[in-house]
Amino acid sequence: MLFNSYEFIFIFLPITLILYFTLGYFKYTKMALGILVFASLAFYAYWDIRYLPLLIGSILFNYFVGALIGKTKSKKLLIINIFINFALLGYFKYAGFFVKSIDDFFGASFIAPEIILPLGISFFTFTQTAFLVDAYRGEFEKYDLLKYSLFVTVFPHLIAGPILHHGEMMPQFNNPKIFCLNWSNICIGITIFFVGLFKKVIIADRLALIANPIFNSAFSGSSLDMIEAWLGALAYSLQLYFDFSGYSEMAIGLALLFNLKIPINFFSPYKAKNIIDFWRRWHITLSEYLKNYLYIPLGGNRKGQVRRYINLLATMLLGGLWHGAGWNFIIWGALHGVYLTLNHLWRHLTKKVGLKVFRNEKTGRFLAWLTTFIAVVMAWVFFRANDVNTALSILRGMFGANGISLNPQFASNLSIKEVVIWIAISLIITLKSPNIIEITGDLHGKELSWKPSYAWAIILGIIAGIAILGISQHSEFLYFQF
Amino acid sequence: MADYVHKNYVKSVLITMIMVLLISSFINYYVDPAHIFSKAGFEQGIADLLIKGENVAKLSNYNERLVQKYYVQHLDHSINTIVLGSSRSMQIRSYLFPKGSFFNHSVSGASLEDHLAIYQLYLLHGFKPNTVVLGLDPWLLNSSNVQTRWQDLAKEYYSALNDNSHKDYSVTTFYLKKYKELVSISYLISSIKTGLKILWNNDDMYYPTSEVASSVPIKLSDGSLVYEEKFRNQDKVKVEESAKSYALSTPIYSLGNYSKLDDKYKDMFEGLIDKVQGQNVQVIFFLPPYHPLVYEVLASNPDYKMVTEAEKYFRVIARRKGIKVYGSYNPRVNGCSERDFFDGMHPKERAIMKIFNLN
Repeated sequence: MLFNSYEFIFIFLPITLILYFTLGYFKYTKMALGILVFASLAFYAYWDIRYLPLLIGSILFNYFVGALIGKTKSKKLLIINIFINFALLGYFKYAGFFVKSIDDFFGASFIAPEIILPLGISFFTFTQTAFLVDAYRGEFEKYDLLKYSLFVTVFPHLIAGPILHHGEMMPQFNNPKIFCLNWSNICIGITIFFVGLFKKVIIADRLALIANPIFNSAFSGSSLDMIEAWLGALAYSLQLYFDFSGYSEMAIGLALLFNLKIPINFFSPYKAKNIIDFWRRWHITLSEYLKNYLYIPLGGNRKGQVRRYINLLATMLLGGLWHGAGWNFIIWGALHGVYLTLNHLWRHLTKKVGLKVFRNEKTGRFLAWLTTFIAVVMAWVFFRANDVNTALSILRGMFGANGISLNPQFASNLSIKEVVIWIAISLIITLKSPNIIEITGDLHGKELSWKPSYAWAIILGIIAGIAILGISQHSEFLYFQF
Repeated sequence: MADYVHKNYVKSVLITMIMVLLISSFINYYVDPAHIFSKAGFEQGIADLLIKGENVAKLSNYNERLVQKYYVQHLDHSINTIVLGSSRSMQIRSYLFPKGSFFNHSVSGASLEDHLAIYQLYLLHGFKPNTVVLGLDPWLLNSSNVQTRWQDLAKEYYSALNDNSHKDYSVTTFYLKKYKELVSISYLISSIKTGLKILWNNDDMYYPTSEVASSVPIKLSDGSLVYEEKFRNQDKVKVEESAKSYALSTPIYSLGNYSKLDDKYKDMFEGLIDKVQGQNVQVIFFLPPYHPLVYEVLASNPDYKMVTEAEKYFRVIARRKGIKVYGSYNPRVNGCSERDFFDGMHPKERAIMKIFNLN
């Protein structure tokens, strides 16, 4: 089931809310939690019920193993079970890629298995392995199976994150206030939800009409000129942001309806003035996960500068691989590893010698932003392209290798004027306006700060109405493939 | 902040949202650019003109299937030769079949359901043509062809299925899909554009004409189509750009997720042939070609492998049932070149003449 569907918004969600709060009102709190678990499993099964046993099996396995690890503090048990979790993920996600790579490198002709990737497997694998590690570290209390199941499955985050940490969710499940209807949370929840929906179905899906034909054109062998290549890269960069952040905001809004607070996943990432800052604003929960469970265990920055950069590269390489089974994703990860390394190196050197590159701070900030933005956009080309060759072809176009045409043809039949307008509007929203989290957050005294007024209600009602109209064009979230 | 403030906020949001949806639905229903919701009048008028032997000019945004329905329902005699196909068969004209009366019933995006339904219209009206020319597009056997416009002839299709012992149609689904357009943003944009056009030009209506070519599209009295001059006379560069754009679309029209020749559609197709031939009606297959640029993609891209498989299948059936086949998806087979196409998928009249050996 998708958040951007009639059946979710008008049937699934209202029924779940009514059941949850009715049970909560009559103090059947365990049943209320049970309803949420049941609803979450039904939400997952709606995609393909054949994979429901996999999800349930994974939950039961990790719960009991986690409890055992917590009791025995056995490192061996931890390693074995992390291996089992990632082996499962590896089988579903990487078996085909692994076989194909062997074929390509060694000229073999093994047949790559066609395996359907279970929805959300990357997310619930990460969520639960973090739990196992914390169980080993003694950083968790004993939870009951119901609350653990809810932690893994709670439907706002189940399919495409944010990646939750048990430490931030379990205390909420123990709080009796979550079972009482909270009108303030309902207001903020629906506000964030509908803004996220609008970002996804109106803006992201429109940008897809620009990006897809350009990338497909490159994939089919066409040489893109500079304008077309840049428009495609920009359109995709913006599409991915609006799609994924829109989804994350819908998840945050939905969770808030149930009085649950899940972490922010995006915070105006394209405003970042350096790559380090970018990764504190983009897919924040993944960055935190990689930092806490990969980068720091590898040694982090505790073993000298060189080792720090190696750890960064390794973390980002694996982060790239997590996103997809393909060399283009690995290259994307490696690029960001290099970017982060250079950024840290730059900081280290400029601090050491007390260097101030730009006298004019405004110029400096602008150039810092521009460099970061261009670096990120160029890396996204690898992320989106079907393969490495296509990505390189597009980058060649971006650097002007195929010349400049002032009248590019777009396979989607959008005119250049429409394309430029959509990209310009998207850029203005992304770079100049506050994000919805800032707007609904605590911004006392600032003009755009949200309040439950009639003016805001009308604005949101219009946004919601237009977003619902946009649902008729069915489209999945980009991160579903992960 | 007091609860009533928040409750008022939620109520106001919901009321505003509902108003936006209601206003959009009203605009979509009232303007109705594709005449999805309109009563018979508009299409009835077109059918009446065609039956009277008039050409009809300035046809746009009308329900093509309803026109076929009203046309057949108001016939007082059977038609000797009929053509069933998509827009790719709309250039087949009466002079190609000079014996007896002729009508081209091709409709845009025709699917197999359309073929069954339109043929059934004749049977329900107590008529039977002598010859049926079947325009066979490759997507006819694609279960993911996303063609839903046949649902305007749902009753006739269902009736045809009864004869063929297939019962899998849901009337409810049809009405749900139709009325979903009331809350569709793309239909709303179309409604607004059409509404503005009507306000400015105040002239969206078709009219009878004796012209056979014009600056507006003309549906000839034999049911075939003459495109407006601008589209008919595009220069070579524009046609090539258009073909390129078509070839690069993902997926190519109605050919997405085409991983196999659907068994159900194959059964339906063979059932239709058996039924038509069983009534001593001659069947002719017409395989409309694609623009060379597009065919190159179709022939080489594994995602479109089923296109050549579909052609093979149709030829096997033709051989088995003694049916003559004209044309091929490969334009070179009948000597068609880039100049013989309006765009990536629509062959010109000169291409049709080459295929039917009349050049």
